[in-house]
Amino acid sequence: MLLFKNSFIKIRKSLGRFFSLIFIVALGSAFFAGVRETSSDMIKTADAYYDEYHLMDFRIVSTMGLTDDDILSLEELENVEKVVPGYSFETVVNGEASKIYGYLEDINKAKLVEGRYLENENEILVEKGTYHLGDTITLESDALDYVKNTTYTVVGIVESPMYIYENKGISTVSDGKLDTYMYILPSNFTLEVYTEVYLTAKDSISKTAYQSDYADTISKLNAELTELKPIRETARYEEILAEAMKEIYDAEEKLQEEKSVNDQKFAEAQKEILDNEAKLKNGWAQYNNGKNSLSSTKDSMEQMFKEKEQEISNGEKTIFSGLETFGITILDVPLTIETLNGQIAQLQAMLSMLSPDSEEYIKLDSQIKTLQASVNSLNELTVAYQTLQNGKLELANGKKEWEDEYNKALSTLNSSYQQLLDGEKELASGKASYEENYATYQQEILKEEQEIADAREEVANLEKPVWYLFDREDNSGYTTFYDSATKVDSIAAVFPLFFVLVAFLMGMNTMTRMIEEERGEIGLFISLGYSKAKIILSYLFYVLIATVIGLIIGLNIGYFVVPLIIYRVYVSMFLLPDLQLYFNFGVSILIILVCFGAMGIVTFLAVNRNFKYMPANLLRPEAPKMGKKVFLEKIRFLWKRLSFTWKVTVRNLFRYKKRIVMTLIGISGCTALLLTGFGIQDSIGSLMNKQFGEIEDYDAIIFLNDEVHEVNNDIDEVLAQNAISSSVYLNMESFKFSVENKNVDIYLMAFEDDVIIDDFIHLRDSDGNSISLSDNGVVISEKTARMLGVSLGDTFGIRNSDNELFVLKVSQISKNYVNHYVYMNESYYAQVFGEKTYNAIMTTMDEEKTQEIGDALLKIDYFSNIQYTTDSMNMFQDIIRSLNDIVFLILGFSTFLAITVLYNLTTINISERTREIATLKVLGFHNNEVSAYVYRETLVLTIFGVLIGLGLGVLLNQFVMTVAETDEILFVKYIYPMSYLYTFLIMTLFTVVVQFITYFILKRINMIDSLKSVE
Amino acid sequence: MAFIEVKNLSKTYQMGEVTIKAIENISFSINEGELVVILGPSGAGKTTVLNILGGMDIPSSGSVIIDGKDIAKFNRKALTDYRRYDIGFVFQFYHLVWNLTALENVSLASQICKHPKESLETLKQVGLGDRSGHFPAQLSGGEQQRVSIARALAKNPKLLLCDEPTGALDSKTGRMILELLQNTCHKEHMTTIIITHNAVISEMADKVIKIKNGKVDDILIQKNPKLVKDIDW
Repeated sequence: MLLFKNSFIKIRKSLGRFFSLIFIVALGSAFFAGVRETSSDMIKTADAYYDEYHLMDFRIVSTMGLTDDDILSLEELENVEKVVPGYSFETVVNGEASKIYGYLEDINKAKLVEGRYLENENEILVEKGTYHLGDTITLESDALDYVKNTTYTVVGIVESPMYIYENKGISTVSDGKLDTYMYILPSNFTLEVYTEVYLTAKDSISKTAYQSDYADTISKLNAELTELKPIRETARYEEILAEAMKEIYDAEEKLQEEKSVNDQKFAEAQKEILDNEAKLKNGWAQYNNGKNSLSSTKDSMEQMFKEKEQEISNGEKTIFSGLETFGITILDVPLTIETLNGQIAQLQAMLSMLSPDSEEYIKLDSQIKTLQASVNSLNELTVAYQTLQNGKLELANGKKEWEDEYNKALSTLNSSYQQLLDGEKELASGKASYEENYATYQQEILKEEQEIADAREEVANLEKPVWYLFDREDNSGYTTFYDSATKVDSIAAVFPLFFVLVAFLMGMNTMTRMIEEERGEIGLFISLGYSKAKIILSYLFYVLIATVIGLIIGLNIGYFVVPLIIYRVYVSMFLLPDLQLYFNFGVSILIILVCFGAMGIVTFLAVNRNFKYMPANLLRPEAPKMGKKVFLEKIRFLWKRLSFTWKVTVRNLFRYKKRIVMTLIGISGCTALLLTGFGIQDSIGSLMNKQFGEIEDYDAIIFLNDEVHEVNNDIDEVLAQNAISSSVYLNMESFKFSVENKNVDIYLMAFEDDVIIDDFIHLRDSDGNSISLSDNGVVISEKTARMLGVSLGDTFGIRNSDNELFVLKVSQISKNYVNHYVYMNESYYAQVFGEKTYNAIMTTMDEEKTQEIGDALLKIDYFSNIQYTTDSMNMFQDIIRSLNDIVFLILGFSTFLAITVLYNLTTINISERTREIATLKVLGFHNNEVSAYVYRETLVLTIFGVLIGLGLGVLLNQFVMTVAETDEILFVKYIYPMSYLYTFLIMTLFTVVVQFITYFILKRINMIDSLKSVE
Repeated sequence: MAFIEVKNLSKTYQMGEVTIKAIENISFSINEGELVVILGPSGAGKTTVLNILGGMDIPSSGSVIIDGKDIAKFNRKALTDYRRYDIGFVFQFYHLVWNLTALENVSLASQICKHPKESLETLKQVGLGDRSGHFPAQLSGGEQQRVSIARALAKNPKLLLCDEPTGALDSKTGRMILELLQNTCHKEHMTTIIITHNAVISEMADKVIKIKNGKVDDILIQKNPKLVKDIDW
């Protein structure tokens, strides 16, 4: 028990050493545990997120959509958990390529950040950071092909486990890069088939994403799906075929029916025309007959009238000649008759007075008689005249009557003539329209027949629908996250190992020294009869207390602080929930065992070494190490030149080889870490300068609303008006290529032919020579070539979002650091893709006014979207800023480690040489001379250590940068000269700081005590 | 006035509540070129006297006038300079720097002095001219002690202080060392103080200061000190 008490007293007496042990253990375990655990924490956090929001395991998209039958057969699969059909389409919203999903309750749920989920059909959920609650989103009218409404109100802001990465993949609209996503109620969709179906595999939710048991779990379903795929493809093909054939048959039947109906109609019409023609002919005959008979009637009538008139005129002549005998005209007749009748009456009166036999009488009588006869004949003439007059009247009447009759007949005849003419016209036009209609009809029939023939051909050429099977690996966010997380792991593999090594060496050093110092005490205990085990235990106790405290601190920092710092870097790139921290018992136990084991072994060995001496020996101080000539002394001319103090320093340096090694490892290690920290910063910093300074020189890419096929003067004019100094037309599209089952996005840029694009993008080969575009191949970026393993003249394939494959030939490889690009001219583009087309214009403009110019341009109909180079730069700057955190983490740990190592080594150095230092003091060395005597060694070692460390740092930096490199980035493994200087200065500063602290230790060394004779 | 004038010298150590008087009211004087032996048993306080004389410790009271200066009033810096320029030490355990050769050990001291002696000459003087390149570990105890004396002499000090210089040596070697010291003292007129518990050694001294229980017990002046070789061991 006393021994343990002794341990506690030792702790109190040597707090510095005790704390340095704690510190070493804490630092080593914190870094090891922390960096190792981070990737696991990240994966677990992501997995919990995926599980909570039911991220699908598989997504199936078919070229012809998916039907309920498809869903049914998917549901019957053995290893399937959920089958959820859904709808989505891509469209441009406010210039951004947007994917609109029907929101599903059961799968790929969105995490609500603000607002609420959907309740009505006119509501929409949007991605965080795009729109605000209450905003109205209006889709373009082409959206009506898919959905009922085009106007929606934002009710919720969401994040989605499907889109955890800034890069959301490629799109079929706009510039080919998906910008955002939205959700509406699925009932909004008007499609007949589902656009996609999501599946989860049985038990997959209980497995951790990215891990092999997850892969195993979903591979079972994958196998089933792969098996089902051709079956359903065929079924769907046959279904579509049957549908199409039925349609064709229906169309044919309809055509036949139409034909028979119409043929009859046309025949009738033709017959009618013929009838009408005959009728018309008849009419003409009748008309001509009528006309003839009328004219002959007219002739005979006129003859008759003439005869009658002659007759009357003859009668009148007779009358007039009769009257002439009387010497009167017809008008005088009545008066004459009256006169005659008066004479008769007079004569009769005279007669009556005369005897009948009188001569007079007789004479009178005869006179009367003559008179009477005259009257009679006059009467007769009057009557005849009257009769004649009547006849005349009658004739006139007859004539009039005839004329009326004639006129009537004539007009009848004329009207029937007109009718006949009309009829003829009608018939002609009827005939014409018949012919026209018939021709049209014939044409229509032909057309319909052609259509049916076409349809038949189409059916004959009908391609089988293709199912595209996607799993989570096809989501670039999902895979990039894993890459990033495992990258932490790879870095984790080197750094902590290094820390543990240094910590182990430090621990060993400290304990060895401690036990050396206490060999007298050990000797005393042995001589007092304590067992070896007890003595060892008392030291172990001391060490283990330090180790336990160190572990408690270290593991806590390691598990609960370090991952948060590292994770900060990733949250800036990924949209994920807060990191969930886990305490890894397995690794902790490993760390604890390693620490206990290492410390225990070190202590045991150090203590045990003393047991071989006799206690009496132990009670005396250890004989100092014998001095030796060093090899440098053999180089006499050099050695002679060294001042005395330097000779001493050199000799001392080689005196303690173990210490040299330790110091060099410690210092070079810290230096390497520091330099790596700076190197990461430099590489990423210079990456930005290189990519956006040396390669991409354009300021913006302006996307056109409608593709054009040649340079458009109107657009050029608009650009010129808006202060765009220079521009080039290009076609920019997104594609992907696969490497090791991984899809990587690649941007295609096809420029106008014969334009020098060097004003916009400086394409350079590895020797820095300018590259120009050619008609028979493409220029691809360096990293792309490296990933694909292609060189000049090779071919490679890229796929568009419909999975169509295009093969390109490599003509040049250009330097490029960020993203994958394939550059070509339009001629080559036309060779591969069929036609020249431009969808964008790359421009340079006044960099101060890009936003202003851009805003003005976007108001013009020609342009849909603008991609600014400064935006890309800013995004990059964010990444760099967050990476600085990791650099600071490394710098911080390195600093602690460096100071600990230096402090530890210096104090051990001093404690080992107390007697020597006391001697110097007695000899009258001033404090600064004494310090210099000791420091000179440390300084030399520091300088050598730093130099070695700089070398190691370059290698470590290379390694870290290689490991940290993502698919999209090619790191420039370049460390600025200033960083070497900084590292050097920092290490020097640490050394000075530590020496400053140790100066006081040196000053405190008491000559008298130290030189006290040991009797 | 004598070369060294020690008056009423006292040194007390405070150990917690207890005050220990290491020496009390010690007074003596030493003339230049004298060989003085301070004699006393273990714990009598003789080392304390030496420490104070050597500028390694400060007295609680009293004065130590050496060559006209009272070193009891010196601060640390002045004491260091005093050690550096005026004092040569010879220790029981030599305290050589193990990583330096014999010559280098001598140079270590001489290079910080104003008027050092030639290191190699000094080594020759102590009879080690042919072993100058050897490391301490390659030398015998007596040789080491001679190196240590050479180191002290090379500084050309005003005062040579020797703390039990023969304590770790056999008598034969011890006599050689004492002889060396006596010769040096006489030849170079070097004031030498030897501290010892061995009464025999005192026979070689010009002056013997006996100390007992922290006080001067007796001061003995020997007009005709014995040569070391004549001393009967």
